[in-house]
Amino acid sequence: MEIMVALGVMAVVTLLVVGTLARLLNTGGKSAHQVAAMLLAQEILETSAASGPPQWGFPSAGAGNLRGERSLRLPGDQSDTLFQYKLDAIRLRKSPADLGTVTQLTVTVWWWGDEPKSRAELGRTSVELARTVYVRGETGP
Amino acid sequence: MTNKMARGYALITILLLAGFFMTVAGAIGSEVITGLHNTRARQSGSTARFAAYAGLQHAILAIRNSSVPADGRLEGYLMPGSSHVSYAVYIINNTDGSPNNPIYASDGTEVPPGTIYCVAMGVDGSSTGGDVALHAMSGTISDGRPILKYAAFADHSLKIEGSVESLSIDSATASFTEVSPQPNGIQNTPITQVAADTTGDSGDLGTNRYLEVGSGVNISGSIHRPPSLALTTSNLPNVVDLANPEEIPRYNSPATSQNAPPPPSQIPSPGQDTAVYSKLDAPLGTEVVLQPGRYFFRDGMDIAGTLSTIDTNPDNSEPVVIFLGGDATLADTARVNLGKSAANIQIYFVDDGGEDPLKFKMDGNSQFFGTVVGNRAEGEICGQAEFYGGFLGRSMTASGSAKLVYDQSLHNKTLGAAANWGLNGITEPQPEKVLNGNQLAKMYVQSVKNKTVQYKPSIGMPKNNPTM
Repeated sequence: MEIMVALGVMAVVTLLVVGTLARLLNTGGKSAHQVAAMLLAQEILETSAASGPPQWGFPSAGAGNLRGERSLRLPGDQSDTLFQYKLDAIRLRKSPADLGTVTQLTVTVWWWGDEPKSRAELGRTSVELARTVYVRGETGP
Repeated sequence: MTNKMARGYALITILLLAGFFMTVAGAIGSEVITGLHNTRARQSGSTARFAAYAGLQHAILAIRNSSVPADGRLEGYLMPGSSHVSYAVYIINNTDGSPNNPIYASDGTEVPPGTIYCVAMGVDGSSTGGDVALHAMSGTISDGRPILKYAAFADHSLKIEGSVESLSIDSATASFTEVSPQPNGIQNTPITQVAADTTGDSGDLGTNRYLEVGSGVNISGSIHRPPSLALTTSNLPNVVDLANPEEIPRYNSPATSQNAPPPPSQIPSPGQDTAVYSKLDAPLGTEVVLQPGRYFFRDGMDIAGTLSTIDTNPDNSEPVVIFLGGDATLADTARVNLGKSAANIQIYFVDDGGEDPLKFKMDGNSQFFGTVVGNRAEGEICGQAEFYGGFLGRSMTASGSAKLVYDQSLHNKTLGAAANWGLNGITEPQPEKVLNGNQLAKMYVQSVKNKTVQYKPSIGMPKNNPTM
């Protein structure tokens, strides 16, 4: 009887520990991806702000063209992870008195998918960073 | 008995093992959770940093379109419609360099004349438990705008011919002293030495930035900026009427007196706006009196008579600012701002992107007390002409018995307003660290000539009312 109880306790504890560790490992994996995506987003945002309109550092300008991807191998991983990103540039104000334009830049970087979305037990698999840029002398539409 | 003694060992052993496993799992879990917190803090820090960047951009915009609040404080949100991420910027504007200088921010940072000190703070309020990441950064403008430290700057050539005298005069104290060469701090490598009494010598500065003239030290000249820095229309401070920017450049559609020359008499004050005239013409024997304000002369000016100013403010904070779309010629016995501070009359040559030079010519026995600035400005002083003040332009040639005299009162005086020239100096430094709670990391990056020097003032935001 005691052996049975002991085995039962052992089984429950084992399941609990294994389940928890699996979950934690998943979470840790997401954390690593988040850090990489955040660094990538910072790089893109700073490059875009420095490059300016209309291409914002991308090869070609226009809606839908401000996209890109990069494969990164994270520490401990056996294969690369594909990170995709897009830049949304929204003009916030355009007044002649400003002698320039103010644009909101938002970079979204995501992994494990063609579009930014959420995954069961992992939550969002994307990060987002934004800033505004004042472009002096810019008078385009 | 033996069985009784052994009873319970298996369960205890299993419980001990289970406890051990759970402890290990807890430790691993704790490590992972700490990592998650760190990741979140880093994310929050990045968000706040970019909010601070946004604040700095807002500050630049506000400086540019003259919408900085009186208290120098700007606030806003990073994302329209979202109040999670916000920024606050403090701006201390000391571009005019007067009258309380240097200004000290409450954090002890010295804000010297000719600089703007900005501190931007980003706040990510989306973190839980009031754990707020703050970032701050600042930028200053240094002397990437007209600060006339020498008698003449020229970014193409500075040519000295004949016997050229150069004294240094402080119009504030009226004391005359010999000018001494002052290394400009950009590059202290003299490329040539031209004796004062050497006739016909000239120095083509090329890509060098420093020219020192004469063991007798009659003139010191330097390149203030490499030639690659082009001055454009918008670089010229205040040439744009902010209320009607579509009229840039204004001389394409002068508002008044397009064809009629201004009368050789007193010109009414333009008030807040810039008075636009076709040409300033003061023939021999006439006098034109300008009240403090801004004037625009589409076709330049010809002075053979007298051009004087009315002093309404003893500290010269209200100068006569003249924008010229054409050449300026001073001939015969022209007298401009005679005997007064060179800052009283400030001449800016406009630049519509063309390459043709705009000449500032002095001949005869003309005398000029003022400052001349322009990307395309080519100075030419000959005969017995005497130039008192400061010149900043493409080239300067002084010949004959001309005098080129520097007004020392210009040394710490910055002219005009903060346009692109100044704003180009504002940088976006990377904050060194992310702090939480009420702490604030501040970086003060001052572009000093070609160097970037970083200061780390003490913690705390400026509380004083900035001078705007």
